[in-house]
Amino acid sequence: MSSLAHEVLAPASPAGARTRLLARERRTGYLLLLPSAVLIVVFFLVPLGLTVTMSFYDWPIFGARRPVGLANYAEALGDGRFWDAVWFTTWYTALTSVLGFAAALGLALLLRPRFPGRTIARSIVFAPVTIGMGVAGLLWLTLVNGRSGVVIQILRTLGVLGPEQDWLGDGGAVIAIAVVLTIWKTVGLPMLVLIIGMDSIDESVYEAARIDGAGPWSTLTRITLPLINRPLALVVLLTVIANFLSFDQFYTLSRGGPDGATVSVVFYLYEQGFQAFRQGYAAAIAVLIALLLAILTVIQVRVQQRSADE
Amino acid sequence: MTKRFTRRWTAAAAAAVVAVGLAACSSGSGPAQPADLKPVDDGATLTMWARAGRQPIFDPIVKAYNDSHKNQISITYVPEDQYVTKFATAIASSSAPDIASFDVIYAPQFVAGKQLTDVTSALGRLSYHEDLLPAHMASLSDDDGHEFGVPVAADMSLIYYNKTLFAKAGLDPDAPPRNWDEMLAAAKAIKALGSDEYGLYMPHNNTGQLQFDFTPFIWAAGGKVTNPDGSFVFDDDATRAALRLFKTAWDAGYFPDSAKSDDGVGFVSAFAKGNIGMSMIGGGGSDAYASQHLPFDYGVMPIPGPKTGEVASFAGGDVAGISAGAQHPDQAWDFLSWLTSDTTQLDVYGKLHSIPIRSDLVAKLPADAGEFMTVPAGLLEYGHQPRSTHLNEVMSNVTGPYLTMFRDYLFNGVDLDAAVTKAQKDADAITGR
Repeated sequence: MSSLAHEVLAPASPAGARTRLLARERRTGYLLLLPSAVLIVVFFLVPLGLTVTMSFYDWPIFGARRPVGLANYAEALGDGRFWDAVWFTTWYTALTSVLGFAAALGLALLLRPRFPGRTIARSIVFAPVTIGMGVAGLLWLTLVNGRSGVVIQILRTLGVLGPEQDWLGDGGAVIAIAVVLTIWKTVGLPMLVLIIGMDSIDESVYEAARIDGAGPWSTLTRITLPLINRPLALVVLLTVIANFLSFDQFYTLSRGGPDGATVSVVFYLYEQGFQAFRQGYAAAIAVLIALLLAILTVIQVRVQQRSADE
Repeated sequence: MTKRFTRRWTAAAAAAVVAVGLAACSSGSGPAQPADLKPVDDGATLTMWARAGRQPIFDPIVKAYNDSHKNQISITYVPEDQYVTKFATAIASSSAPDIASFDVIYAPQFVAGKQLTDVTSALGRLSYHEDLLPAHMASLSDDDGHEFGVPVAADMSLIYYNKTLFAKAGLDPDAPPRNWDEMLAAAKAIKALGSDEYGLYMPHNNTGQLQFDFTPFIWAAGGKVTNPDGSFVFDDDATRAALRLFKTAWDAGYFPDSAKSDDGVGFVSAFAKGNIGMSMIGGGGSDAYASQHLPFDYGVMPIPGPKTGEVASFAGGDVAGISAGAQHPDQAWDFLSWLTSDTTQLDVYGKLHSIPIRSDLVAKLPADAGEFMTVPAGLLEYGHQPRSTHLNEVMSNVTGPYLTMFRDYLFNGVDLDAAVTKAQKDADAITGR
């Protein structure tokens, strides 16, 4: 019997069949991964590679580029305006994320039970998510600018504001407006994720809690929140990342002003890359932002894992 | 297997990153070639880019050229804030247009980056070469005196003044202020009309307007703003005087408070409301106001200096050059030489109410051209530009030294000397890098 006939006719050993099956599964797995892998390479790895490379160059918009080693990173680390932007972005992210999360949780608790008009109420809260942040910023600019803003005019007519009081001329007021705008614009999505998480909790768990005499607060903190730990973690992670990368609201509302009060790290990156045309330096800032976010994300995930384990 | 799998993918990812890096490093931009251009009209199809805001001017200009020539131009309008990056990308991918028309403030960067064709010898053959706007031509020249394009649109800094309010305040509507003292006195008289009337307007939170409208006050006071080597001059008497003038006007309430936060939205619209006596705008205002039929009488005046007779303007507008490596350089030169000719400047530009880009043609403007043409045209010889490849970093960025100096002194309680000294130090750090 030839070896081929032997292979075809002889019963395969169980171990060999398993190996072939595993190999076939692995091939299928790779094939299924291929489209995603191509997308990741084209839209993530290639730009990332280019960005990392650019960060080691003096890369003007026109003319010859030249390698500068770590000079761009050294400059960024010693650049007071960069660190001002990091500091502003960090506390803005903390403030917006905490308030935004509280708003999302509150709205989820409020809009989860059945009541007439619930769908309409949810839609109203979710609607701003469907527009871009730039559009939202321009919309709010028309409401709150000192020359023709509708809200300003109403408040002036009511005597709440003086005739020349201008929120956009006050750094603190611009930041407050940006926080409210961001929460208004984004709160719908985390609210929905939290509602879906809450809906997945078996009603019998709540019944048992009620029988044991649990009040609303202890039901929330000891049952609801621990049982939606995963969607909660996702919401916190996405909210923090999105807020750290804020740009559009500051650009549209105040162009980073007044007096640089709302220059976020992405705004600073934009300014260096697309206004000053220092693409190598902007690339170094981009890499530093990515590293900062990676560190922030790792810390967040670790903390959440630890609290979930406890 | 999982670890091996992860390692494999990590290695592949790292390889991709390195490959992209190597590919990126291997490319470079080519040098601009000196060219002995001759105007050729042989029916070629040319591509041209212009910034979006110039469509009302360039559509009829290009139409006039296409109607009278065998060559045909296909024009594309590019958003202003994306122009430079898009052009750089187009050059890198060898798809740049034959003719590039862009904001003159970017000219030093285009020239230094060798993105345009050297047109020195062809320009030298034009009889009116010396009459092309000097500030624009300086920005289009390199240190060796080679020239890389021509001016195609001039936009001068102007003050629009409300003649109706002037008359109401007891001022002569036909005799606008000629120096800083007269300007402050007029602003005071208009402010005295009521709580909703203001003497002056300029957006105080926009770097573009600061360059275009505030910087001329420094020039008018004898300042130079930039040195020939591209460094900046802020720590001087002229800058201090101009800052003091604005501080005085601000503290006196001649500007409305909303000007403090205006990042450019009110540049043209604030004056249209009718309660502003003098608004620092530019040539573009006349078209906007003509179409709005403002319910009050208004005129234009130059930005004055400290003394009567001293005026200055930002020489704004657009320049055009032939892209380095353009497919039809001679045909592109045919368009540029036609554009700058007497006939085009007087007939085509004249019909568009656009001022000529040649100083020798100012005297040839028709007698009925009106003040909105004659006043800015008369400023052509007083036009200045801050010329530096670091202009954006120093004067255009919102975190840059120029806006910081202006706002620190006007609004943030910083001492005048401290504000200008800091601006000088920060600008020097940028240019000396």
